Amino acid sequence: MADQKKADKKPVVGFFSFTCCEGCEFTVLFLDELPELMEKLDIQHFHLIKQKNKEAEFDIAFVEGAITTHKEARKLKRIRSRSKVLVALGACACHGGIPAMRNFIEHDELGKYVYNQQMLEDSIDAQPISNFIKVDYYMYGCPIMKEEFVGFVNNYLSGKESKEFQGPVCNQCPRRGNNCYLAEKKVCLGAMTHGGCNAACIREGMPCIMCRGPLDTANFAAETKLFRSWGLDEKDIIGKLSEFGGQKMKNDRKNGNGNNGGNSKDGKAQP
Amino acid sequence: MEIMAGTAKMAKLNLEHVAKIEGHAKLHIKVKGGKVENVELRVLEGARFFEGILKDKKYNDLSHISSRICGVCSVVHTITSIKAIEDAFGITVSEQTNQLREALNIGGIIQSHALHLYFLTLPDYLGAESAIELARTNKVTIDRALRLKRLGNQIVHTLAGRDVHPIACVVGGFSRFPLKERIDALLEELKSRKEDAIKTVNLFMSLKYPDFTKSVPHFALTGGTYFYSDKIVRCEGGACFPTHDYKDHFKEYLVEGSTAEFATKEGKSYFVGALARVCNNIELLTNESKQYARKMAERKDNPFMNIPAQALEMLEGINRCIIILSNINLGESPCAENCVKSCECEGIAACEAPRGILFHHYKFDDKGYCTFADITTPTTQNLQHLEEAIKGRVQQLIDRSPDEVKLEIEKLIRAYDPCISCSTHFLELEWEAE
Repeated sequence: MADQKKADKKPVVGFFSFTCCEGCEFTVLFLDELPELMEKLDIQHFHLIKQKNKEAEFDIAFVEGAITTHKEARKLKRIRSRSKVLVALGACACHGGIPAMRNFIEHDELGKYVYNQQMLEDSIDAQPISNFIKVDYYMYGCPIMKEEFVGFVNNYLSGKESKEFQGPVCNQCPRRGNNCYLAEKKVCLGAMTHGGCNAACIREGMPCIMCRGPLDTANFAAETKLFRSWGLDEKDIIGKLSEFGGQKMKNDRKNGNGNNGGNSKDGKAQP
Repeated sequence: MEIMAGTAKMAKLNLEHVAKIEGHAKLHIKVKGGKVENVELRVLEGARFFEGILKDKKYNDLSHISSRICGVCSVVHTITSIKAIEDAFGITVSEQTNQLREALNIGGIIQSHALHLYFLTLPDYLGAESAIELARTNKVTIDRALRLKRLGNQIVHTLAGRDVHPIACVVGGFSRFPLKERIDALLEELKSRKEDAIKTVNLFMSLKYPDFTKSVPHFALTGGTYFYSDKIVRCEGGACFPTHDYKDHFKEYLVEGSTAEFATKEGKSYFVGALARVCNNIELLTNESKQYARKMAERKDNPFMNIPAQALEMLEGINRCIIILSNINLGESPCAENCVKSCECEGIAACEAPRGILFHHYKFDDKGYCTFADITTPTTQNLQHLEEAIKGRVQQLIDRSPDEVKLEIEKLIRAYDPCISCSTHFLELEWEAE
């Protein structure tokens, strides 16, 4: 990454949004450091705030949202071909996120919610962007963490490579040990989830809902068994696990794996 | 933008990538003999089927899924979702919870308005390409915008734990108390931002808005406080009806070729949002705001007045938040007992979102699973009026150059602050002339 930075030239940056709530782009706009970032980066593409947007040659492309149509997939590939570094921004881009929940609705049922036949024809299962292109950095979360975004940009500007946090949410959890939510039979998905959020929800008195997506090692079968042993029924368990972990859970099941999905990183299906 | 002359009589104007709105839509305008014959607004966002994915989910999972409908309105989707669940299960919350929720909702409104006014709207009126450009040329103004935006974030973060997709706002109340020292710090910040809010009102009242009117009924919630009424829907100068009956009055319909719904009141368009709130609820405003509100109400048929009305709500929101947080006594348990009825039930709730009235409507089975979900967003309700207003505005501008028409239509669209998807970004304009 280091050689991509030229000392006298601002990095050309683009923000792109596919199917999502735009909460990650808003998180960027909500940064206290926004003025400095605007100063240090040459933002050429950001539909949410710019009138004139160019598909330039990008040093960094930040991509949020899941891919839900063939048209979106084509655009994503075009962005990749023009970008040196491509960052998946948030749960939808990294794992399919909330939009991927629709993959669990039976197709007939889906018809009730689709109003546009042309769109239905173009429509595909909601998927993470890595099913179509190579991703250089996964910025997990729903939404992304402000600190992580600022850290990533600052690292880039000083020629350093950013590394994703390793390990589950539990590694930073204040309830780790005897105080664990699981010991109270509360559905907390922290052990299955990419850490790096400083266990934000648990600090606010709420269990983890896996918004940073499932780890490679997330064991859906074991977790399901545990929750079932508490008396939770199947529908409730699937509902909770599919919010952010649906794609991996589906792949695990398809592959008959009790443990690791055994395919690509984070359980993403191979293109 | 390009003009392609297909035949001598036909012209097509492609207005792709209209930026600075939240959404992805297409506009088709047909002009015949110098008269605007038809305007069709079609929403093309990637469908996410929220009402489908909420089905079969347990009641206490609905609010954080609904929050993800929109990154900028996540606060009010969370609150409204929770209120609809509480309505269904008959859960009563403490006065303290209601006050904190009101302050939280104000935080969400300040976040959204600060962004919309200064980042999406102001560049139009100062002839700038974007707020990025304004940050260089009008640093003082953009610094003020950033302080107000930060204030909105601080309110939401203090009360609910995160700027976007609040964490601590749950069925029954809050998962924890906000820390006393953070409430105190927030109060200090609110007081020091008042001057910024007054400057904002004066700035947005002084901008030269197009002389354009499109008369339409304005609807807003009333019966409680300005930012936190829920029981009654009021039409300015007209009748009121209970929130629970909203389906009898507001009809949603699907438009072929569009993934969003349009809503009408007895087949006619109506307007919700900041201007509608100001017009309907002047008496609920603090005295400081009333003087400004009266001036806006005089021009209520001009949809561009929605812009200064949002500015006024920043001031009113700050004043109201100071009152709430100065007097709040965090004595009660943060969260009411969640006793879930073991029978089928149904709940409806409404809240004033940054862009107008938001409805959530759910049905549950005897185990607490959602069997039906219906969400009516403010933009759904404004689309029909927006379409009609565009028609009127294009007619007004018929002799101007395509470039000018394009910019003016975009300005009009942005005045409604549409959050079309809450998911996408561009508007394609097709212009057909004979």
